[in-house]
Amino acid sequence: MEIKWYIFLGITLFVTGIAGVLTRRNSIIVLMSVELMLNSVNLILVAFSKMHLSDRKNAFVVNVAMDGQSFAFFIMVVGAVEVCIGLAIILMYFRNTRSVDINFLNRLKN
Amino acid sequence: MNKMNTIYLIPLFPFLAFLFKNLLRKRLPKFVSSFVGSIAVLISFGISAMVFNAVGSPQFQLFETSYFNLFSFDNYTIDFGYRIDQLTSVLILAVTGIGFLIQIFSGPFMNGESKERFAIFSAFLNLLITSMLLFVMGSNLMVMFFGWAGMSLATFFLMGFKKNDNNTKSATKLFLLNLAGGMALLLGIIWILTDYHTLSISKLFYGGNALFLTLTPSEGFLTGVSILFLFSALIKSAQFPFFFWVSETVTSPVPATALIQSVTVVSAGAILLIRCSLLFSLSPTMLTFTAAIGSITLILGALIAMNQNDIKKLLAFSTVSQLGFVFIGIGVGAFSQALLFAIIHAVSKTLLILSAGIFVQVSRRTKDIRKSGTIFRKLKAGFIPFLAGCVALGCIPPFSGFIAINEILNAAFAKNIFIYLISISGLILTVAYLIRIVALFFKGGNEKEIEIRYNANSSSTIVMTFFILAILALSIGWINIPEVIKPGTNYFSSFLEPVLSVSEKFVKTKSKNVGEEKILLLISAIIVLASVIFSWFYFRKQKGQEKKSRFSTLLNNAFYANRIWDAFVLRPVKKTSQFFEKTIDLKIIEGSVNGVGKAVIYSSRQFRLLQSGQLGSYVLLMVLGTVLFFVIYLFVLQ
Repeated sequence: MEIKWYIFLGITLFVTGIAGVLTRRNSIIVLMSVELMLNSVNLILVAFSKMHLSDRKNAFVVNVAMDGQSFAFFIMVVGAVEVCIGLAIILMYFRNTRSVDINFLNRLKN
Repeated sequence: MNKMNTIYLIPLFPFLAFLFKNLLRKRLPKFVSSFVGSIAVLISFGISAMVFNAVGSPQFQLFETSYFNLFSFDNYTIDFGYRIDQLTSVLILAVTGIGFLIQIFSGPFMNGESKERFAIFSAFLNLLITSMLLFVMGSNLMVMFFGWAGMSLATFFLMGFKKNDNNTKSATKLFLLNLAGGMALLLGIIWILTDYHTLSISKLFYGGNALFLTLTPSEGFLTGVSILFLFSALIKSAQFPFFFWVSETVTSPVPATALIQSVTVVSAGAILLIRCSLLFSLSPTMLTFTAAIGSITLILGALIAMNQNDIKKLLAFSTVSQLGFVFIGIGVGAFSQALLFAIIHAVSKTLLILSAGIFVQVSRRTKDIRKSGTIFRKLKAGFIPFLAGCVALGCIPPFSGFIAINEILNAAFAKNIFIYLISISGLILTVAYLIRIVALFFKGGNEKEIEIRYNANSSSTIVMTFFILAILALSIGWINIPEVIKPGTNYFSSFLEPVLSVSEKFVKTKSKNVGEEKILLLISAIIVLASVIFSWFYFRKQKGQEKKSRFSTLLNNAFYANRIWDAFVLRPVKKTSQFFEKTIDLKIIEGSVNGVGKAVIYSSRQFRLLQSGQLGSYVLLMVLGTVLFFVIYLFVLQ
């Protein structure tokens, strides 16, 4: 499969994520959209890595390609941690206010 | 040459007296400060006399010292040092001598002041003397400049001594004017330094291999430097465009006026020109210009003096006019005679101003010569010295003024007939205004309302001062009796010959013609005597109430020189400085400094609005930023 399809899919997912973050008021869905953006980036990283690994003769290219995959792992870990903390915050928030509306969070301003 | 090693003490003693009196001004009783001031100058006078004696001996060589290094640049250094030659030795003798007499005079004369004020006053007299000594003794132009600037400072303090707004204003004006002159001098000095890499007077101006002779300066250099030097000399000596300032020195106490107008400040300009005479001799145009300025000042000053009734102002304009003679003398190349005339003028003007001070005290400070003449006439201690001063200054034939003026007239005749004629008419005017004062004194005024408060006859110090000054004023010219009367008696000129011969070589035009000079001598003697007799009868007969013509009002106000100066120089300068203050400084410079702070406060107030706490807007901004980044990266940078 050509690389461009992966890129298209990645962009679509990323834009969906952005749209979700910008438009939705439910903070859980905002968190999910952030996850979506992270995963789209992961997808593109892995796709490029796979593409470059097909050219195995050049050692430098191989190294760089392996970097892409390891980044993908890091992003997964970061995403997991973020979800943990984010969900914990939302839970506490819900306990206090009985709502998950993100616009109430602007009390952080002061 | 052992005596010469003490010359550094000459300016040092008056300076120490200045420091001493200024520091202890609250403690010192009046007689102590007077004594300290006089004795310091007296010691300097003693050393000067010793130096003069040594200089007079036939085996004397030029003596120069350097004490420490003032500045040093890559390849040249400027030392602080003194130089003793014939010119210096004469000048230090004159400065310390007259300075000493004025110092001891000021003690009994200023007995109305408090002890602190008197100490300050006396201290600044010492400072003025120190500066003048520094100026005449300096071995290079930089040291001379220090003296020059010190004189401006001391004059400023002395003029502002009587505290009121008017005095402060005129003192400040004079100080600024003198600063402008000093600036011109400094520019000229720097110009010389850049072209010749030295400021030493000996190397530049004196000796057969003077730098100005061996490395002939370019036309532009000569003109530029001599214009700068002449400009500052004109300001110091109160010549034509700047002559009004002397009339403002009358605000200072009488001894200070006497010192300023005799041997220090106003003579300094002429002395600068004589010192640097080689520079001027190389450019004949500048010499003619100097003589022209001198002629204008001579006539204007004498005309103004003729119409003044305030005795101190009259004497001030007389100073201006007499220095016109000195400048004419310099302009026609008679340097030694010009110097002799300056010294004679200094002595007799000191005498006149000091005795006029007695008059002012007698006449209840009206200063008006039309009043209280009779009382002044009765005060023999004041009046006889005044007459002697008039005789010396008015060039009455056998006395000193006539001898000096005659030589200047001879030189003028040989050089330029117009300048000669102007000088002759200036001489007539001089005699006329001096006779006018005396005539008015003899006529007297309505003295009934004035009682004598001050008994000048009693103060022996004052009488002694006057006596010495009068003898000097009348007789000092006889050190230079012209050769036509008796050959070989022009001691003064021949004494100064080693110093001035280098430059006088350039300006001598005709060989001396004894017969012609005899005729000139007779002519000037007859003219002086005739104008004495004529003006005596004219002013005696004149009615008490002079009719006020428009011209005499003009003269009475000194051609409104002050106002013209205000309108054309001061006001534009003030406007410019206001523009700089209001616009450049307050708006642009201070505005930009304050503007930084204001901009930070304003922008932070605006940026704070961005921090809304709305998560959506943060994310939107982030996304927009990312998009912008991509757009720039992909489309602009490619």
